[in-house]
Amino acid sequence: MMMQGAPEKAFEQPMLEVKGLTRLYGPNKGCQRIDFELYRGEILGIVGESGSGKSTLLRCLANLEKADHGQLLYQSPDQGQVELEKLAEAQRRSLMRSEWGIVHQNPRDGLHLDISAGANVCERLMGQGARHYGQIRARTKEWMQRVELDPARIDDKPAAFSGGMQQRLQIACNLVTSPRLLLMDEPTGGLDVSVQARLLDLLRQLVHELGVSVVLVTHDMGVARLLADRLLVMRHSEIIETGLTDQILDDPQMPYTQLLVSSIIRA
Amino acid sequence: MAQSCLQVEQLEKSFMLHHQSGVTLNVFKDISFNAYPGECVVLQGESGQGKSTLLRCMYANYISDSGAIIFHDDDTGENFDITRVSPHRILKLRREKIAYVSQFLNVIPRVPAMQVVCQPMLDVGYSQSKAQQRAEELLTRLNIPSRLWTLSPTTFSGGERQRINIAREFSLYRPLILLDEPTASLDEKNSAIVVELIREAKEQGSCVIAIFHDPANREAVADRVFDLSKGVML
Repeated sequence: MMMQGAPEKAFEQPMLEVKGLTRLYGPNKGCQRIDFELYRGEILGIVGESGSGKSTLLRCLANLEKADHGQLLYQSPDQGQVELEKLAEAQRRSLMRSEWGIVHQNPRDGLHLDISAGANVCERLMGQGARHYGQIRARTKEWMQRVELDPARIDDKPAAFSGGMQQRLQIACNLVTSPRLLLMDEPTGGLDVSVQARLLDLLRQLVHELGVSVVLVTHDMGVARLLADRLLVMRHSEIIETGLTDQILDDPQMPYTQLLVSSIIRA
Repeated sequence: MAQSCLQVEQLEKSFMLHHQSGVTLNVFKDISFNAYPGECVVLQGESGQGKSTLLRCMYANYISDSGAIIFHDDDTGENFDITRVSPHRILKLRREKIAYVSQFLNVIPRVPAMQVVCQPMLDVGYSQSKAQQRAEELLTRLNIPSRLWTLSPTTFSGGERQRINIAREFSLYRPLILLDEPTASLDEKNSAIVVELIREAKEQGSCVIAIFHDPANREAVADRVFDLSKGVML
């Protein structure tokens, strides 16, 4: 009888393997000894309160900050296994623009507010080599529709959009190039509750449809419950617990996780 | 000796409530039994003795303290200890091998009932139309009127929600089916339909592990009964 117990050999290569990732700017400020795996089509939620280090972790993954040490092993369809921390800056940035994507908490960080919505989307497509103006415009309108933005507003500047609309545009800009991995930092933070709800539904649907892998940082356990398959719980720069979302929410083991979960207001 | 579908070995479970005076709730220990394809094992015991807890351990929704829960995959011949395999493996097992109808029905807001029922089929690659066809078949059988199919179950009655969840979990063949009070909120007519669905699943070779308070429904489907208070198969 062949037994599969711990430690189990991966029956499928993870898309991303993070080992020992550390970036500290003070004792227990930042993130340290971060280990996790992310598989294709999975949504991994990183939860924890302010100051837990989750945003630092995301910024290291997004190449917005340089880790002190640690390994980031990514399976690229073209290049095979890539050690991200060893890539040249230009290559790392190119990867961020093509196979990866990032949805910032504040859409202003992910959009050019002074050029049209269409031009924002276009920039990503052209970065991938698209040149045919008619086709680019058609795809842009298609994507605006998919994120429930009126395609007639393709030439309007995002500065004229509401926060929720800007966020949708940011999502469209990222998904238009079919990224394999999407990083999201509090994607619904600062939005009105009803706007949040619709945006979460949209995200869930699109991510599911496209089979994108997602690393989602949020302090909102309700958002985590809705979107994430698995959770990493962070506190004071470290991961204190990890597991399936329903297991973490229904049977939290660590004292801090129990505290976090007990403070969710259930519908 | 027939190969079991599920082997529970000396399972122990307690809850340590860190913020409620650090109290530990011991739920059960030394639970061992086998369940086979094509049979229904009913879990019996008084309230609080761990029937739902045991089902949740089998689904990896709860973490057990010690012991093992071994699922045997007839298709591949592999064995998986549910208490030890990776979360990624559990997600795959849930998608392909294990159905679960919980006692308390969590509803994702704004997702229409039809979508709720179709999702597991879409997850294994069915086309939207094929999934919808199967979903319609089950929803009709479970007496959910078509005017409710495009609505989110958040506004449905308990009995309606239960039937939506049952339709969802019975839409595909699953070698292991875990049911926590599947007829609790149902009238006689609909309970009888659920009993039929369970019988059909057994005939197809599924192993069903269920909790039924209602003695009539229990009688109708149980092949064997496991008593949690005594820790033995009756």
